[in-house]
Amino acid sequence: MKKSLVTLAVLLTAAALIAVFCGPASAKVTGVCSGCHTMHNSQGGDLVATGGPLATLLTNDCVGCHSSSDSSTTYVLGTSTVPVVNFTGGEPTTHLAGGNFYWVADAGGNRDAAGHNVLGISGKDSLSFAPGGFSCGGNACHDSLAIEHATGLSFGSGCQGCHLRPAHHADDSATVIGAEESSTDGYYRFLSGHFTGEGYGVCGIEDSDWQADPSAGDHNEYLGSSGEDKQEPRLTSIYVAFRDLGHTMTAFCCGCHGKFHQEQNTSGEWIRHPSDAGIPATGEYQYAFGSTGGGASGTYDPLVPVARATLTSVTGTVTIGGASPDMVMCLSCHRPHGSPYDDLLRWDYSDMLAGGDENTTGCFACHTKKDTGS
Amino acid sequence: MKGKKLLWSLVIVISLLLCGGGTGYAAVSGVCSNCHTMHNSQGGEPMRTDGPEPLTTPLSALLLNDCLGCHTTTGGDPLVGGYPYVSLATDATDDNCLAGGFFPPMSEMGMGDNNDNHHGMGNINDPAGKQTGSFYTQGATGLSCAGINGCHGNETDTDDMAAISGGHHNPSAYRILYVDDDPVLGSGAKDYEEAIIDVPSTPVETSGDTQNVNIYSAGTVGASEATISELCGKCHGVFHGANGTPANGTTNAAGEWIRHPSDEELPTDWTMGGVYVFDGNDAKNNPFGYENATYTGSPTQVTCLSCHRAHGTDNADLLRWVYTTQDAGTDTADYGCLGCHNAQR
Repeated sequence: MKKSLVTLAVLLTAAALIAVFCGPASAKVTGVCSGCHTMHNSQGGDLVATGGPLATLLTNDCVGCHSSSDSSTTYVLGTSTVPVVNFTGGEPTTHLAGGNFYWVADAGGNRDAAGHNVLGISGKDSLSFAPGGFSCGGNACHDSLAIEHATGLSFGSGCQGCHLRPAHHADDSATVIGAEESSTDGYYRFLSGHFTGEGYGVCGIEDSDWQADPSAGDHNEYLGSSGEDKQEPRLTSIYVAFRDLGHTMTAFCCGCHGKFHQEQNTSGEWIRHPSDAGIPATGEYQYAFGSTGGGASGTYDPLVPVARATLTSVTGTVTIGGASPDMVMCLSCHRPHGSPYDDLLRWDYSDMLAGGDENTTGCFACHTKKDTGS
Repeated sequence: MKGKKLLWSLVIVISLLLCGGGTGYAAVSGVCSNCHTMHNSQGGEPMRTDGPEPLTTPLSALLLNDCLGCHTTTGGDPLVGGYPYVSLATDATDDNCLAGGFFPPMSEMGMGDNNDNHHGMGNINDPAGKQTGSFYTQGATGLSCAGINGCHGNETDTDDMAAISGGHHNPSAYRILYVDDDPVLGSGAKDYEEAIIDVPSTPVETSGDTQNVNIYSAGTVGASEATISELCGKCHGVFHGANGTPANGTTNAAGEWIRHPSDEELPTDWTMGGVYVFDGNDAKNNPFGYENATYTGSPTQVTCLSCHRAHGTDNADLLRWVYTTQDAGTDTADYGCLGCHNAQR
């Protein structure tokens, strides 16, 4: 009896632990505990978790659970749906919103430019630290996501370099996730900050199937903030992202790529591509996303997502111009995990042909006149 | 721009998308990545390849290179795949250049006062014939390609790229040239006159997709347009004005010519006066301007470019020919001064 009570207590404790496991976007992970956890990493004299025991008593690590050779989007595990970010069954023809690591992994040709190099998926690339970033020494995540880091050991390496505090059992049932400081909902896709970003995380609306089948009205929603000064040397410190930009996806990207957010020179001219910048209803931009111009809304394109100044629900339009326009952001052009294209782009940059009248998306979703010239 | 190192660009093949004949202006086409970099970063290194600023400093308009950097070639052909070069590594001459002429290598840019055969980028001397009140202030960096200290683009931006913003992808003026906010009117040769300059016997095409000569504006243009000579007059206004004083005009109080006319019709009793069908030799050595840049049926007018090329030539004062060889009474020359002034041959 006493032994049974102890066992029950351990099981309940394990169930309360925050797992390193992405669960369904609009529902915390459900299902039998044994589907993901092992109490002693031992069964019948054999190890349960390869390379374990693993933190939070897991049977597998991030990469192990979120890889699949059968599906490039999702698979079912018990009563939970698991998003796949690393497809090992050949080149994927579909993938989730964040992209897929296939192309940066060995199976996809080990192309460093096609994805973030992450521990357990691909080896370290040749860069000393993230482009537009910095090194804080000690093999930190800011140097590479593909190595075991020696600083900030409270955060895991690899996937946890971005998904700092996975919270698979957090209550993420609200429509908008991560809006508050020190949120207990896990933040959007478990993306949060540390150091100056402690207590901050990304705010967004998580599509229930991670955009496995996106459309204008079925997609993630991202928060943006266009009010800050983007001029050099405004962001003299690249540590200030969340603190200055708020709970935005762009702020999160700036944690490692902050130099790229210094986008205007002292004369206010653009020297780097804008991010978290409102799409104006002037010039060629007024026709973005198929808008008829003059401030009319465009149609949301999941291939070229925009950020919103405020989030309430998923909408199928793009607000162009006005007091609170939707914004271009980092993810408007990039996929964070990987893509078939260099620089993790959503399209092949070398295919963007000005004046060719062939593309109406990609760069030309916003730069409408550069393609058609009319 | 002063002391700026000549920037050698990669040979970039960009075909020109022509916007039709008449006064249509060519818009740049081609892959965005040929000219633009989003973050000036690739593989941990800057994308910019040259320039006076540190390579890690991004350029405005997200460009890989600046004006001369893009329009300079390491070769000897001024037009490659429709892409115009105004500075060549080798073999730039009056017979191998484009309509605007050519700059020397940056190391040979002239900083003298009226001594050179080209506009010297970075030259801080006052331009010859500078008129009081001219927009041109040269500033600390001297003559530049565009903007407040240049010829192309608007007259207000310090940065060259900002000054010509929109000029490549959505051109609204001849060769991105403006006087105040008025676009210069003109019709450009699709090959920037490369063929005519190389082989003046080439048959002249004055319009359409095969247009191989520029048609300049002169005299009358629209209320919100400017002639090419007015463009020159932004800096050399004393040479273009006609206010009746020797200090500032082309005619004296009595109306007599004291400086060579521009934006003036040739007398109709001159060989090249009135409605005149010009050939390639005329286009190369004595081009004319026309009312509203309309060639057909219009009488010939002299413009600044009838004698000069804008960027540079082999000859002093950026002339299309050597002034000191113009020998009245030779009865042979039909170009240069004696091209129009047939009575002096």
